[in-house]
Amino acid sequence: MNLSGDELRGHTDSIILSVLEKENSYGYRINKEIEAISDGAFILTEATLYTVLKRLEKQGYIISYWEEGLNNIKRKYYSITETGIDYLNQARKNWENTYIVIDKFLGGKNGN
Amino acid sequence: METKIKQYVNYQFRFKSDVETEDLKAEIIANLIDRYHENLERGYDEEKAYVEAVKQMGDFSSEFKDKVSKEYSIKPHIVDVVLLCATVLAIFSTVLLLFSIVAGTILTAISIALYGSGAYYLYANAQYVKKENKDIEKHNILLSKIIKYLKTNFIFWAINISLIIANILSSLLTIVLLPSGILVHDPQSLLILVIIFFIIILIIAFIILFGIYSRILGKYKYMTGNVDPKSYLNDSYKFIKGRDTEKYIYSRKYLKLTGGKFVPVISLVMILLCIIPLTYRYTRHSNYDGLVNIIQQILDSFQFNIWPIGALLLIEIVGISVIAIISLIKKRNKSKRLIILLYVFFIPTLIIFTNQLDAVISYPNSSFYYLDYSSSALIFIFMVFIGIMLIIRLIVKLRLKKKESKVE
Repeated sequence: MNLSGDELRGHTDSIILSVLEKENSYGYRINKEIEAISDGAFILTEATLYTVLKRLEKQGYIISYWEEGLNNIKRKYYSITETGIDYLNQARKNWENTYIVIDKFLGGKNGN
Repeated sequence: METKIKQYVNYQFRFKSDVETEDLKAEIIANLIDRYHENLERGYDEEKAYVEAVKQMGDFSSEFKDKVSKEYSIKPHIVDVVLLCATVLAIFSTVLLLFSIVAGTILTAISIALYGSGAYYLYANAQYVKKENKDIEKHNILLSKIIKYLKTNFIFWAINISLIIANILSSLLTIVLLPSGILVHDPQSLLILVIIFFIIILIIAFIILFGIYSRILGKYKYMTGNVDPKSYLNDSYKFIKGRDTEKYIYSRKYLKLTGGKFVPVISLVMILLCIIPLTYRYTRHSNYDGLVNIIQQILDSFQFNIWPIGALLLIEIVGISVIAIISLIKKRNKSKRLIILLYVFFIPTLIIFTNQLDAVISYPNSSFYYLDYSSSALIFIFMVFIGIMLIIRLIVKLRLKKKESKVE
């Protein structure tokens, strides 16, 4: 699978929020989840991940808390807020609209 | 290996040490350790597992606002080095000129040739990039490289050329005028002559080169639309000071011309020029040299009932030295000190100057008074020059304050 970074970059916020919508999670597990869902096509670097997480927290879409997990390692967990869910739903709507329009141009060979 | 990961993360964040960063570090370390264990489970050996985990960290440089200048978005070319070499040679040849005119001249010529050809290459390249690749960004960057070292080069070329021409002129004059007996045949008068020539030519050279520089700059602005080209000196200064605000850019443009280290340096030169006539006057009468002469002259003036001149000399020399040194060391509150500086040397020098003018009128045939007169005239010119500079500086400062208060 060949995914263009530029195409995904605009959606990192929504992708992370969609992962957090299922359950509260921490950096490594969020990344693993994204990797698993995209079949390994999309892996975020720590830098990208934390820049996005920081931004989302600042915008009030997510909140964070420290929790001791396995092996006594302290981890920072993130959980989505109500505004975060609203934002995600809006993003979903926008994506549906974009998808319909773009698909008219680039979708299946029988398009014409 | 886990310690190694910690070390790596700590190194990446070595410039930050607030609570937020500590949190971030702890978070990243925990995640990288997880990733490291995952890599081990995949069957990687320890070293590879570590490298793969750390690779995942990515680039945090945007966190520190450590932006790389646009200039480096295109691959450095050998011509960049040529321009830099030309600049270093220009500075080095100024020093060399003080020891050997011939070697200094050759070096200056090489510097000019290097810069000229380098600049031509960059210009041609910029035109090509614009025409063939339609890459305006690259075109602008290439042109900005020409401007970057230009100011520094022009300043040193002006000094070098003035030194060379002053030397040629004074040796020519000595050959022509020495037999006629008009010039005093001693090294000191020759030195003063060279200095006078040097200063006159330097002013002319600066005016000419400034004209050329403004025209090039005008053309650069026209071609790129870039209003504030970064010069090599500005860049270095900003790098050292670490500041780059709007206010700073605005004030830098105007204040650089009139202030900074310029006035104290000039006043130090003036002290030297004061010492030359003072020492000269007494070489005819006393067995002492240099500074002792000045002290003797001051003491003499007290003895011969012309003590005001001695006192003024004392005030002038001590005052200028102290203020110039303080101005060089301390940076704040410079304008007030400069005004004091103006008063300290303006009045005494004026009095000494008129006193010596009087002496020249009284003894028109005395050759050593002639030299006194010429160097005093030089001091006077400098004095007027600095006076104008200070007035411009004051006006600009007042206007800056007005502008700031308006903004607020």
